[in-house]
Amino acid sequence: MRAAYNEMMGWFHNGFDGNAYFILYLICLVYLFITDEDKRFKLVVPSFLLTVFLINPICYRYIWAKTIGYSYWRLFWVLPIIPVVAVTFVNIISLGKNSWQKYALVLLLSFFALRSGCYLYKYPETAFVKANNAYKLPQPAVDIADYLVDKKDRPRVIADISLARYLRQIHPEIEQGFGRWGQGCNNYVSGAYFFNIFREGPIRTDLGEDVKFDWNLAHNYMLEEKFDYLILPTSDDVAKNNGDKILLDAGFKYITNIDGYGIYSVAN
Amino acid sequence: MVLLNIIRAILVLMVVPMFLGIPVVSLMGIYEDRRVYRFFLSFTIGYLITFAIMQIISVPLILNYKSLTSFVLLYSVIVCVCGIILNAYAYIFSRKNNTKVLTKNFIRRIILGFKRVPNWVWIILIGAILLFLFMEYHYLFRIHVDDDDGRYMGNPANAVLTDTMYQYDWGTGKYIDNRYINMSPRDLVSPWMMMFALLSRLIGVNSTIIAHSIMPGILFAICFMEYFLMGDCFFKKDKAKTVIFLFMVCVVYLTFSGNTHTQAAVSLVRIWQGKAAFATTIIPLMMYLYLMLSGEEVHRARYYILGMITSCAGCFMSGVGIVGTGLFMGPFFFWDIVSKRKWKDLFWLIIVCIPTLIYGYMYAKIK
Repeated sequence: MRAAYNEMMGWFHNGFDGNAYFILYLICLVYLFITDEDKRFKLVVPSFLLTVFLINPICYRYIWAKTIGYSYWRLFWVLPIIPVVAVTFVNIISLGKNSWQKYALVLLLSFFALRSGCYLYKYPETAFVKANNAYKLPQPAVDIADYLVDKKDRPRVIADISLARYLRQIHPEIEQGFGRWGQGCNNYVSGAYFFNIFREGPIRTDLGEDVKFDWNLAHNYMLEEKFDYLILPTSDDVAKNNGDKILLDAGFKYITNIDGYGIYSVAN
Repeated sequence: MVLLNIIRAILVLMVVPMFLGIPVVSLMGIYEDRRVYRFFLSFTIGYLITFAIMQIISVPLILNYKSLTSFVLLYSVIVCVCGIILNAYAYIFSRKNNTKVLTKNFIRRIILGFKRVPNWVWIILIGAILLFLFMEYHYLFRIHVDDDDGRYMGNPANAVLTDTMYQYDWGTGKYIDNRYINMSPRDLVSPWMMMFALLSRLIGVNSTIIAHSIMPGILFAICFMEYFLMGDCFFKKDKAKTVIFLFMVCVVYLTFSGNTHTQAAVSLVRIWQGKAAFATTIIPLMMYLYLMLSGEEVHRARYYILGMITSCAGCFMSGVGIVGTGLFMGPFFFWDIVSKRKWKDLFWLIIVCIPTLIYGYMYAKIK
């Protein structure tokens, strides 16, 4: 049971991202139970029952771990935290005797809410940036996808991991050696071979101490599998020199540079 | 061409939900003299019904390897038939009960309604609207790039190109020999992504554009319509408290975060993904339905049926929706039955949980 408790608490911390909203929610439940007769049975009791049903090691061990597993933390969304906190704040603001007191309470509680959690858009994971296209995807991906389908109806490409996840969202006509979803990759064409090279970022010519990556082998492989293009991040210097020497020596042909990505043809 | 796309988008995204939602709200016999509330509920329920229809027809089609075209055609026919039947029934019902369907001086009534609100609340109302628009602005004019979208947006794009559903790999475009092994079972049982493919076909716009630029604005607006209705239930038609409630909901949404895992964070960052759409639209709606059910004397059976439709819509969105709808409605509705000692309603509670049971079983079976 202790192991179940520890596992459950791991998901709990993951689900609430370390903010204090769950504690605030419990305080609000107690406050409403004491002060608001109408909400006591309408909101507080069922919310409490749901919370207990969801967050306890016994239910976790025998129900949640067996049925929903990894997605357990997502069930915390079902807890009525937002309405409970908002209703409590409204009740507190209604205690103000005049409009100025009410404004002050609104500001105070907004500040309190901010201290319980944190401003959402400030994190890199939740940040928004200016949109340059209707797809709402990085502009290099849109430009390169447009370029590829302009050149060929069904281009077959192997693209750097920083592009691979976007290209098919724009033009599904593009066939890829591998795509990417979240932290993993799906890869039915080329095995883990290319993914292992590209996930580390720009061109790498070795896979570790023992394994030497062979671009000649890669070129031959891409020829056999009828790939058309190889797309890799390219520095300005490489672009000026019309491609990376290692790749050119292996048989790839440099075509152009689009938004910092070099496009190489695989033609023999 | 663009004008035609806009007309098609208005028809599919605005007219169709209202076409389904208005008669249902009429039949429920609520908000008859409160047009804004009626509009909000009609719009919300209209979308809910379209999601439920998509779920009911798409899962058997997907499991039987049918084409996207068959899904689009069947959906269009069912929506038309359902809409006509519901509207005809609502018309007959309103004639029988002498219900006024139209109200004169619509805008004047809204203004008069808000004139009764104390002056100090107006500033809070403006604050709430600004905060809501601030959040909408992020969805409409800025971008958040999410790694998971390779799968979420790759699948509908594949479907439109190949006229299939979940038969090609999202990342590579390669045909999948055995998708029961190579695909996630939740995609087959909760095919939310196929909605973008369907809308892409109906509107004529790329599915990624629909998912990233059009639907977030609508889904987030639905969310706040639901909170508006919820506030009205909580505070028994007190407009001032409802406005403050909305303001505080906006504040909580903007601050209930730490990273990307909370309900507010997924709602504000990646609403186009099924699980986030569930957190944003279905969870507040379930709370609203529960509040209506636990409030004054209402036609309880109608709310249970709506609960079942909500459950079905939740199952359509995500695997977590399959469990989440049952998890919420089970305890909350059960508590309502127990506290009011309406034991006959236990039958309806089982009806409400049917989608969870069916799609949960299918999920487990495929897995």
